[in-house]
Amino acid sequence: MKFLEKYDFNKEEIADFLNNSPKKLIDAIKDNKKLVCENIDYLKGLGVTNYQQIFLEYYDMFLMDHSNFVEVFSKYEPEDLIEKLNKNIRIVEYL
Amino acid sequence: MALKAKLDLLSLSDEERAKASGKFLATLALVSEEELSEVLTYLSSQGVQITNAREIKVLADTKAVMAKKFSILGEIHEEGIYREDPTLISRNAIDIYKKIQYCKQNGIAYKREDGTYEPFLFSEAAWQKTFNRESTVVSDVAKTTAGDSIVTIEPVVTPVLEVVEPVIPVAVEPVSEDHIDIKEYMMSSDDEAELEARTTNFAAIRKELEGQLAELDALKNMSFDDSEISFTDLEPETYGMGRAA
Repeated sequence: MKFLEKYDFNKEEIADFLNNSPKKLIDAIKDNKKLVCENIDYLKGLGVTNYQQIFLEYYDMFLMDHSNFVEVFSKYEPEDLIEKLNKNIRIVEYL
Repeated sequence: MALKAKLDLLSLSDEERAKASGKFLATLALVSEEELSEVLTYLSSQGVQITNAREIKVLADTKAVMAKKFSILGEIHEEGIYREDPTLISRNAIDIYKKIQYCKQNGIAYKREDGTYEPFLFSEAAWQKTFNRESTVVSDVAKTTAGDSIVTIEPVVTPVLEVVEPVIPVAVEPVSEDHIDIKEYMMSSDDEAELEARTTNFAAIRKELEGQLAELDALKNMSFDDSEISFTDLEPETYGMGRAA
């Protein structure tokens, strides 16, 4: 999971993630590293500053096909979306 | 089996189903219908229902792994944690177990008045913030990555007595011998080598805690003869206090 360090996850966060997530999902994330990176990059590019927090809580969502992932977030005005995500990441569930 | 059919096996409301559709289906793609049915039946037998889209990820664990997690917390009658918040099933049960044991042994409340659990049990960051100490709990099993291979971090053991607020252990429960050989319970993954390592680590931590408790008991029973010790002879650093300016 070293690739997560590129996205400013610290070692403790990565360790906590590995220690507290189902093995099958961890393996799937490792096996689909490129897809996961694409999806993280998209959020980061959109200006979502708390993307790490979103990943750590909703990591399974980052295994979505990239075009579907983009579709989930692109329906909203970026500024408004970023503001709401900063207030409460659980808004992700309602997008 | 199509994802939709697997989704039908869950008891999600229309709203939660809508939330899950598209976004939280990766787990269902990773498990077979048989595994899914088995896990759902097991959870139901434990009084746990998956009713929220964000809880679906816990279904990526096998029934065997889940049963071990329930057994670990069942040992201390705290498996209700999972009924309160099913997403916690995906967390490392041994860490939660150790944190609860630490709280019990040090007289620290880990349940609120309304019966809900303190969040510090489920977050290493919250644990450290609350107790201002490096956890002996997670660090021994924490993993990080070096390339793509997982390596174990050396445990960082800080004496239990370094908790910010002085605590006096009350109602310390004797540690049952049953807890010593918990190999069959101790894992959140299917990796046997990891299981062995955790078993060893866990025994060492228990031994350390028992030693510290014995030390505390000895301190409690200690009596001082005033004629032998003059507190003016003690430098502030000797008893851990800074000198007033």
